[in-house]
Amino acid sequence: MKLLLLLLLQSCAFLHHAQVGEIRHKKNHVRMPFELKVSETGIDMKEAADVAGALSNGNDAAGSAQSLAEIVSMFQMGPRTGKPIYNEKYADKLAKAIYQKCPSGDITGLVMIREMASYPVVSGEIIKIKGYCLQKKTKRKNKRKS
Amino acid sequence: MKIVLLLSLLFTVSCTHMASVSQTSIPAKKGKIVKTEVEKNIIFLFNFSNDYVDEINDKLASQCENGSVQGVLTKHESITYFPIVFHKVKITAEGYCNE
Repeated sequence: MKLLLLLLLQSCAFLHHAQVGEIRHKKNHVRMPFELKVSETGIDMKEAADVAGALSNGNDAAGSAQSLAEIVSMFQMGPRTGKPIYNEKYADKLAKAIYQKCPSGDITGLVMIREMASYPVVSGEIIKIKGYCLQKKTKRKNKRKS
Repeated sequence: MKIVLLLSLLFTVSCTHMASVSQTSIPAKKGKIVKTEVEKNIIFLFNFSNDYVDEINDKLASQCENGSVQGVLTKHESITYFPIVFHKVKITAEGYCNE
């Protein structure tokens, strides 16, 4: 029972897309790693309707939930990765966020990962970016105590 | 006969799916080709982390320590060895090392 509960509480991780960017090395520069992650909640209306139907023991509420799911699905056409989300602009802030992490813009080794943490009915639609910010090495001055 | 058909079906459905491909700009001057890959075996579709992808950058960079890796082609494949029971996810990155 405990094992079953543990399995149900764990999210399954689905990898949808991975992309590796160009890698540069610069003399007298150090690579400072940074990581960014944005996510949005995905909702599977069909799964939600199935759960609602199971909980309502097949009465009118089950039929209504199924009808609602069918209506919503009419507006969710086309190819997609993961479960449908209701805010498509959650990824727009990524470019700005990268520059906030690396104001010089001297970025290398960007790895972009599009993944989904899937739970029953809902999911976390995640975009993760890892990379390095190239920063000039600073000379250390050893101050002698006089 | 049914068992033979079922077994042959199970053994022939193993296949590779290309999930995604990306390519960065290809340089005019092409150096030596560097290539690396990371992969993960998934049993019964249980996968709780994609952190194995993170190391691909360092593995590629280590092959071109004094230069730049350009024209990077990234492939994301899913290989089904036995439906539902066992499959593998593989990410391959390949590019030109210009020193």
